[in-house]
Amino acid sequence: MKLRILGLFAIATLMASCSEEGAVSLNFVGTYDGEPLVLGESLSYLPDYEISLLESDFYISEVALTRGSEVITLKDIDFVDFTNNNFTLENAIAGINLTYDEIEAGTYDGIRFGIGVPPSQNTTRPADYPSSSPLSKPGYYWLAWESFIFSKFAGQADGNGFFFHTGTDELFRTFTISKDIVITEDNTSTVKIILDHKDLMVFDGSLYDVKAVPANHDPLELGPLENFVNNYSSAFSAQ
Amino acid sequence: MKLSLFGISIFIVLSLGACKDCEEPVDLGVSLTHIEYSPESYSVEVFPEFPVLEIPSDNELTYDGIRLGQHLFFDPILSADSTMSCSSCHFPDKAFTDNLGVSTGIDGIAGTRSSMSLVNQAFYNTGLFWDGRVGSLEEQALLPVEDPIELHNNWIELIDKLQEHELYQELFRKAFGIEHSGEMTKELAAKSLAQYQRIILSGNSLFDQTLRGTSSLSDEALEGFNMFFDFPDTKDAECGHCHQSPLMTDNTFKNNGITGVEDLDDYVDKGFGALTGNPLDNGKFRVPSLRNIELTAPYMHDGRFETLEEVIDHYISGGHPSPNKDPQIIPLTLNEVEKANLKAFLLTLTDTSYLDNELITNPFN
Repeated sequence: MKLRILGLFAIATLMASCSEEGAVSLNFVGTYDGEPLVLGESLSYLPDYEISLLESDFYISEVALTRGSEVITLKDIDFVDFTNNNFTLENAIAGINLTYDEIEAGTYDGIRFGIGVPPSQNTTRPADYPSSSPLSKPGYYWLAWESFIFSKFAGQADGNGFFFHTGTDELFRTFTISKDIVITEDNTSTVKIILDHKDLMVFDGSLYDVKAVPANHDPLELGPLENFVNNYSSAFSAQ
Repeated sequence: MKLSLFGISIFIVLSLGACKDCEEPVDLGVSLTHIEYSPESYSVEVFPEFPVLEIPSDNELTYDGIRLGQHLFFDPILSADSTMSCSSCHFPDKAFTDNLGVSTGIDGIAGTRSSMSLVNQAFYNTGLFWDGRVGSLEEQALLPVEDPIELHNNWIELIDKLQEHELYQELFRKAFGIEHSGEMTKELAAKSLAQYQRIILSGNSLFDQTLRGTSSLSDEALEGFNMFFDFPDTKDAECGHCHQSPLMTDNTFKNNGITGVEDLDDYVDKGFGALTGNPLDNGKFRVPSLRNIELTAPYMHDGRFETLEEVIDHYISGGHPSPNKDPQIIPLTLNEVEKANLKAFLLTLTDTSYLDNELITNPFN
């Protein structure tokens, strides 16, 4: 009897170790009007002024692959940090790779992720996390909102600062990008996800006047911030 | 011919092997085993709102480890001419600053940067010093000893002195269990200094007590608090972007607009940019914690502002233009009452209760 159990256990172990798994790498590339986004460089904006972007980063959460109604979660939280990447053209073209492994081989039909920290985690604080966690960043929590800062987008317009900081559960958004993704055993499939930053700034059909309203982070004035987070759906594309 | 070559080779190999035995014996120094070694773990009381204190596994805190670091910190033996110690520029009652714009080392050479507060450094996991050039307290502790504008010593001579010193023979033995004075090294000295600095914590100010509900701010300070953190229905002073609770820093490096330049290469002191090589980081410096800001004047990395009023006025102005000035530094419209309220809040961030810990104060007093 014991031998039979051991045999079954061995077979089960063998089957588990034989399951075909691969990895997917999400290659986030920041662009502006279709061109690689290089922070600090002048960018065409409204007719009477140009801008330069200095900061663009955001949390992605509940990262998952989809297959029909099936959702395969890859990671609870991650951080896309163009701010510390896109300071050269070379880096901007290369983008940022977030790789997730141990994915069952097969064909998937899309990627899903949230922009920001989901409500279930937004009751916590950076101090609750070890320094290895993206959520430990002390600059990404706003005491007055009792919320993580989901995304920072900032720059200069004619030398004057402007910024968008999003946060609070109301501004958490989840996006699904349809794309066939084939995971094969012991291989890493790469999906290029492009975020066009100019598209983030289109409100009601025209570019937002960041010189007129430079500070956008007031939870009592969610209008511009809602526009901003809603724009992610059109600003993202996958290749 | 082949045989003689083989013979020569064998001779050389044997000779080299034999020379191992001819090496000068290592000077172990005096035996220390008569001194008791019984390390006791030191448990740090971290304030409840603070992050987890992450301690390197190869440098756990012990009472004797901290005590050694404490002695080294306050002992002028660390400088080449035995006139200055770490504490010459880091006064405990001034939140471990020296109240000078820039500090001066043993040769009378003024540095270019202000003495940083050492409070809560244990949580600065993104790089220490104003420019973030080292990653740990253990690495940090090695540098000021040999810095020509600080203690201008060299570790070899310093360790020689310490090995001869009976007090330090005992302190090193008790801290690290070494068996001979020859095992006293700069690495162990740095570890002990790191242990000492790691326990300097401040988080029981009136501000903290108010958040815990055990005390309350004055009306003025409360108004300043609301402005500082941009609570709804108050004027925003935009401070909390970089000085976020509980550490009152976001642990990053920023250009806060104190120096105007047209070109990023024009910064005389490139700060963080000198470390990263990224021109967009030029002129950026560590965002300092505002804890104990009342005690740490003058302000900024170069000590250019004497008073908190000057600091507040700087931020109201929106700073000097430069291509990488932080976008959150924008002109503000605060009136005199609002400025006073903001200052009133800043003064609630003072907490020097760490001075009650006898492992932190000067052991030679």
